[in-house]
Amino acid sequence: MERHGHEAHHCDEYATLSRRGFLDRSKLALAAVATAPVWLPKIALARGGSGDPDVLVTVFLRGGMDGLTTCVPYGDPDLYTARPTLAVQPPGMPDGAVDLDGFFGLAPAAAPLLTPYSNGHLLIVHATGSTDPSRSHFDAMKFMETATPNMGVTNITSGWLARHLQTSAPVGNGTFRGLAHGNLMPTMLNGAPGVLPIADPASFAFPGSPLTAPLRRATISDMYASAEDPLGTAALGSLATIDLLDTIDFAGYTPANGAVYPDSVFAQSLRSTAALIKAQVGVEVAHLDLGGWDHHNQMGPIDGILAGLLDTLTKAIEAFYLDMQQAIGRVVLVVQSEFGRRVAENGSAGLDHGHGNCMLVLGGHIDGGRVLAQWPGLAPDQLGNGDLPITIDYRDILAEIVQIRLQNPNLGEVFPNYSPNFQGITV
Amino acid sequence: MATPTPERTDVLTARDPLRAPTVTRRLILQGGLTGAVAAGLGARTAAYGQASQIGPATAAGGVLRDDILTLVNHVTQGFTRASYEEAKSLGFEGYLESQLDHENIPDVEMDAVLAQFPTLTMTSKELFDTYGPPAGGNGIQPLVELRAATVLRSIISKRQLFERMVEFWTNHFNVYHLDNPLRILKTAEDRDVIRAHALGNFGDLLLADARSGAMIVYLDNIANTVGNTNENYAREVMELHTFGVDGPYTEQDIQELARVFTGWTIFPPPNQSYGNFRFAVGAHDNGPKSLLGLNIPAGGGVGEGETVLAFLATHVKTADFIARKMAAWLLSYDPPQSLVDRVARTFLSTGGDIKSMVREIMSPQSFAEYHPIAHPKLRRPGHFVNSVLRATGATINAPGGIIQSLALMGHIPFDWLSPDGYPDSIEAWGHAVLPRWDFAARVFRNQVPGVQITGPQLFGLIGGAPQAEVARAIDEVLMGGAMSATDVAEVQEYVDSYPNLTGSVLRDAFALAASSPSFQYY
Repeated sequence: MERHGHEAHHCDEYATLSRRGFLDRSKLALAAVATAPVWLPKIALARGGSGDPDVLVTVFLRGGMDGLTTCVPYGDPDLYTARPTLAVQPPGMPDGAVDLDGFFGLAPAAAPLLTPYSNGHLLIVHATGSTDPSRSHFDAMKFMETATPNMGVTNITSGWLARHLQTSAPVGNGTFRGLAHGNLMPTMLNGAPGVLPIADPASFAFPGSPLTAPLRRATISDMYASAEDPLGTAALGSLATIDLLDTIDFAGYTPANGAVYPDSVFAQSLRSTAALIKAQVGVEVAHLDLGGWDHHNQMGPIDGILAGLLDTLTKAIEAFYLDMQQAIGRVVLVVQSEFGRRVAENGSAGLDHGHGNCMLVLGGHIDGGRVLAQWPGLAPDQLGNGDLPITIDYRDILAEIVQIRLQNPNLGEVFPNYSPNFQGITV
Repeated sequence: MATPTPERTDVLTARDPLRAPTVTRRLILQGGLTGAVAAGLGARTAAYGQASQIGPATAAGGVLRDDILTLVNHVTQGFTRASYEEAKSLGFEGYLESQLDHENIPDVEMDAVLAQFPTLTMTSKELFDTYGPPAGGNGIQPLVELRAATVLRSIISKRQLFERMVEFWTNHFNVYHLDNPLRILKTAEDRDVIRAHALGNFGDLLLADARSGAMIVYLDNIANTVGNTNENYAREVMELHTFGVDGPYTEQDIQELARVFTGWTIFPPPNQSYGNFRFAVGAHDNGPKSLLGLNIPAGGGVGEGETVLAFLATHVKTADFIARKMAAWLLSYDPPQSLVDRVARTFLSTGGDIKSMVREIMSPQSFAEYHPIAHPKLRRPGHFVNSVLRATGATINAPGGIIQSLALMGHIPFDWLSPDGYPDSIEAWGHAVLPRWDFAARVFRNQVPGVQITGPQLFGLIGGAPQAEVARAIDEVLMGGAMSATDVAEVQEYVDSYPNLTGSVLRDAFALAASSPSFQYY
């Protein structure tokens, strides 16, 4: 996979055109998935708690974010043996980590995360991830997003988040339950009812002259009324969503608490997500992708490519966190990646594909302000084939969020063939 | 004699095999033949009577207009009346062969357009000196020209099957364009690797790609040196380019293959051969290697990589992977294993001849086994745009507006970040319909900069059809009459709600037809 992030090209003509700061992909070429999978039993749609479920914002870092840079286990001396040039130095050293708890620290470029962390709203989970052994980006993503690790070839093509939406009652009327920022539907939301890929919610409008719009809309609506899915459902959903988004003033939206979103596509997508959440139009999930994390070469954790990506990611998250302060109690934001990277650096100041990683969970009801880890150690005999082991299955984290914060107890459907072990991440 | 009542064939929008398609018999201008669908559809065609005769034009008139239309839809970037008439006159096999013989298709209009992009024929060194750091530039001009040329070629070029295969291999051997030095290196790779071998030999293509500056940089072989291996290319050449992810290789094989490719680098600037392949002897790991069942003795030099690439290029798993992917590209998403096996056998018996594989995929037998009409594919956004512009014969004065439109749909050429390339599936692209309606509305209102479709042009396209027949006429223009009855009726109802057929009404009608479910498929 190519190593670079996307923000750096400077041609003005294309600055506004290239909306891709992320790697969108859906690898599913087969099966109709707009309906619940055949194996999914008919269950009563659950609404298991008081009040509305939280809004879930999922961020997928495509390419394999290096968790050992993002959240540095500076207290583990074996890190520095394995990464003589790439390891982030301990706090107090030049370009040293920002201390979190005396053992873990943040890479300097990820310092903005200290804001939600010190408020107790950011939890960092370490040595976590998908237990599937694949080191292929594309398979690893597929298994993680469909929540089918170690199951070999399955006929499960729906995303776990889609299955959550399939097994829970809509908050609103169900027309627009969520969006994926971009043009493609990510695997995680494959099969999700009421979800659309939208590149820019602010410009999601019916085209052409307003004078002829009603009649043209009716024509299109009629044409797609009997069209095959996914186009049929997407079309009718789009028409309804156009009206819904029209009620939200994205351009004039003023972030709260003086939050300033950077110019990156990623940050601007989080900004419109915030506006969408505050508008309370029934949106339950919002998904963002951020690509370019595959640093086999010249990773640059301090002032290079990885640092740039962490800067983009964390400044945007900090702005979102500040902006959402008044509503943070009903939001959960999760950041994950398909795998971490190898503990030992390679010969080109980079890292190859690894396994265990860190995961970020942010929210008003998240028991944050700590790093949750059953730290295995980084000595060669403590690793799994040179990779950080996984001591906490990522589904344990997501399942607790789904059940407690999203009020959906149908974990067996969302995470098939798995019994989650809650880690106590919610309060 | 009364004009026979026209009947229509729907494009089968029924992708789900469990739902019967709503096919009705189509208008046959030649008369005589009914438009039934291929026998291979089995139960689905039972309602429609006789099986078709799929095959090349015979004296008995065995080829149906459907098959010619289908062939045109899959060989080109979008139906045009001219392509269709040409295909009809040459016959199914004749047309396919003429398109395969791409070098002998005159392309005068295209050549004139390409002449305005001088970077296309420049070496990487020349591009570097003219648009790179020595000139204080940022390498954007070559990127802009290559994007423009690629889009224009797919619309204008007469070598349509060639352009389809160029797009296929471009996705297969994906290289991301936007970062330096790829902005400069991609031009030579597009010309000397992809275009040079798109209808050539797979082994040649693979080797040329492995040696290309663009791929060496993109997947990090440039940083892959003895004792400091970088596994990126080694992994993806097997996972994505040859075997596929379920191929017969392990993580250990990846590590060993990375050692094989150490020293595969390029001449740096300011060398005259900047961007060209250079085997750096001193950077190569000369030790013995063992991978994929091969034992490579010490000291094999550059030949080691060549040997492994040849091994990959002729492997049965590669044959299966490439055969399936090509069939899915040219026909439809889930070709039956029997068809894939036949194409894979062709791959192996011809040593990777791409034309032979295309011939096998577009053969009467394959059409009978897996007729594209029964398995419509979704036009990806670029294809959708191309199809509108081709069918209408829109005047293209500048490509920038088209590129901008592709940006809004997330489908600019070479703008896909990861080596798996843009997806080709309904699930990936089939949820974003509004951007297509938006393009249709804009282009027929001349709101796509650089693209013009005049009122007289549109009236000319519908050939004097009266208001009551407009939708049908538009259907003939855009899809050769293959739009569904529903979609045609809806467009006609729109037109009928106006007292007169004004230019404005006609523009909207065209835009609605291009926005229809029917037009999204081919």
